[in-house]
Amino acid sequence: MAKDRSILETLRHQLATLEGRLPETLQTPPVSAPAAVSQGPAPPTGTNQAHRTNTLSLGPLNGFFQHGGLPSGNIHEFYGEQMRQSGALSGFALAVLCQQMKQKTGKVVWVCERSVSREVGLPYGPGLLEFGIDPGRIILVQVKQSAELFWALEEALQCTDLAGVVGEVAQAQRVLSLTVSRRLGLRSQGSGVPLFLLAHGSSSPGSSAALSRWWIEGRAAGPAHMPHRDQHSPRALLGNASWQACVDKNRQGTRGRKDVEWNHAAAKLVSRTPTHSVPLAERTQHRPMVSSGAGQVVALRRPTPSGRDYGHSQP
Amino acid sequence: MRPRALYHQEANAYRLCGLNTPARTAGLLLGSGLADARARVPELLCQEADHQAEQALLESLADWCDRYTPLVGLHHLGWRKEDASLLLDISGCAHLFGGEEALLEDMQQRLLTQGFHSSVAIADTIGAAWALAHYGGGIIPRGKQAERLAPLPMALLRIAPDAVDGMAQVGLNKIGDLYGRQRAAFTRRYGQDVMQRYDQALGAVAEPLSPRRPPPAFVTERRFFDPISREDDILLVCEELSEQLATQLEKKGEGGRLFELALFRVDGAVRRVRVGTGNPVRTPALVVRLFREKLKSLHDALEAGYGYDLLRLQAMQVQACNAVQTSLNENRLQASCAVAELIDNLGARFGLDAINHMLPCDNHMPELASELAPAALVHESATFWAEATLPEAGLTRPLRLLEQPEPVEALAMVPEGPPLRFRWRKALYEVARSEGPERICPPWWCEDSGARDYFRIEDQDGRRFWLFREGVFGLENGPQPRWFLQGVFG
Repeated sequence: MAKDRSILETLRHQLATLEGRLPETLQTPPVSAPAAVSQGPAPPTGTNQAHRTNTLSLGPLNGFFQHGGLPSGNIHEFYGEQMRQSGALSGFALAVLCQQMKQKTGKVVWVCERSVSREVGLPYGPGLLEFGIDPGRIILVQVKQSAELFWALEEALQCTDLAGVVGEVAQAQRVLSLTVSRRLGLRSQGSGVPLFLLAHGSSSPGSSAALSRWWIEGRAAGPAHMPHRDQHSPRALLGNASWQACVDKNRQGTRGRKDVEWNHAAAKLVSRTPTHSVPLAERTQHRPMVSSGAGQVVALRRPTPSGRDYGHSQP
Repeated sequence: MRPRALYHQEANAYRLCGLNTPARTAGLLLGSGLADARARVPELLCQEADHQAEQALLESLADWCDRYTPLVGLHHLGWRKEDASLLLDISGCAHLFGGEEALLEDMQQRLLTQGFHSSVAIADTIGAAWALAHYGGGIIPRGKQAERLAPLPMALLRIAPDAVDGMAQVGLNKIGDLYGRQRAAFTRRYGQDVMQRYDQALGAVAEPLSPRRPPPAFVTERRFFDPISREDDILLVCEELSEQLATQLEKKGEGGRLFELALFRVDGAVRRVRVGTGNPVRTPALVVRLFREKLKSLHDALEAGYGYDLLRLQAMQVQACNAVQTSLNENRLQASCAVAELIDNLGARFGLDAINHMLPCDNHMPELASELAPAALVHESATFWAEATLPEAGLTRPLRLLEQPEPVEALAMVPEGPPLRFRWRKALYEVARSEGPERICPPWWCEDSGARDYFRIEDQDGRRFWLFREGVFGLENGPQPRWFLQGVFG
């Protein structure tokens, strides 16, 4: 009887995992009680390890996800509110794609609607190369309509030898439907190839079954940090590309927002350091306890509808 | 039926160029003047000839004739442009229709049901067949062209009218009159053409037929008593045909790079569907899948109408394709195969030129530094990009390049300063920070464009752009410098 129950539990557990409704704490299969007591904390099981190998490290953004990284083999959506944000949007998505391409060999299929490429252009080889992505691994597919785009994405997601698939749409709320998204999601989970969907000029999200949804906004990079130049002169060089990434939907973790920047030398995302910032207040004479050097950056608490605190203020 | 005539303009006069049977019986002749004809036959219906439409009709007829042989050509005489014949090379094809007589009858019958009166002749040489076709049609048995051509008029030898007239003056009216005469005299008096045409008609000199379409390397086909029209049926037949094709290809150790499915409709229209592949392919399932995608992507469907009575699958381009020894640990090979299959599959739907690789090009001009090339045609090694030399700070090339540099209205410091603010697509951008200039000059042989000064710009909201100024300030008569936006950074 007890054995039957444990089988039943395992099956239920598997179903729940497949449907993605289990939080991380329950992901490991239930271990029978005596074993757990006798051996202390259970060692990481096979499923857990599989998860660990299939996540992408996004540096400072890893904290949003339960497995310590962006789960691969699923849909991730990147939204930009306006068409003219396309640079920032592509930049952040390419940063994520770069991590995926470092982790898995193989080509990347990049499907782009012609209306999008007419508006914001196509990825540019020499630029990608500097960014840390090998353009020779990208296969560009140009299609005329969004229906063709989704067909091409679905076709590409079945090919397990790809490192990743990228799709670009405009006005996602009009073209993206739950059915389409679920189909794509199932294909992606089946093959383990992630789909990065870039939605340009989309003011509101389309309904989707994506694992995570990101809103990307460009942040002024400011001057480059170069010791032998004057940072405040108008002739200072541009700094690293930086973005504000806001996780709006996350099925395996929490939501939140964070400023990150791209370190192209190391080809990884790093949190935005306040090194370029100007002190907010000068030191005063009668408070000798204040530490010398640059002032602190203080982010104010912002009330959100869900009551969750998105800021990363320091207490 | 009323007499009808077609006319066209010939040396400032309208002359008849087409007559129906009542008009002929009324005594009208081709080439007579339009006014004369109207006077003689007042009830004559006249219409100006549309030679282009006739040509198009003949082309479609030629397409239809593909059902008999893949080698179909159009034959024009230099001095009678509007009069064209169809030439079919039926060597090795006649037995498929039950012999030459049966083929000829089948062809005439089918043309008649489409509303064409035809005059068909079969002979060993193009010249003999042409002559007989213009003299009622029929079949000249093997090696008998000299006999059968002897009583025919000289003009049927395809020689120019003035040579025919010249020979008529000395009493040479029939082709037979030329037999056994001294050739040199004819060549001297009437030109080289006469003897060449004579030799061609009798088979002493070979005459090539230039087919309208490139002949396929391998062909399989299937005919139906009852025409089929459903897409599923077509694909089913296609599968069967591709299996036959695969055995043919396998025997020669080749695979197809370009396949064509020709669908012959009952009413004579021919539809051709082509799919290309990146690597030589002969697996039937793959070929069928490509055609399935292709048929799906044809939005106007197949317009089957009354259905198709002949399907033909042909390999237009082939390439050596050796059998591959499969083994358990050849993952790499399989990986490249899977991606190639994906490319073919997408290519069948969108066209192979919509699936591209980025190739590095050794060129200073940014828009020419990278080129898109169809992924199916590019070898893996061509997509090799050298390691980037990382810039000290910031990136020097944008992530996305606009298809065309877009003109912007910019306010910039003279003479060579960066822009302070600019208007792009009706929106105003305030420049917060800029980097540059980087001067890129077009090669000296391109005179139409000037040197460009590129700036990397960040606006107040953190958007980054790549702008350039073409031209310089301060030229007396030269054009004012113009600003363009070419790319966006991450």
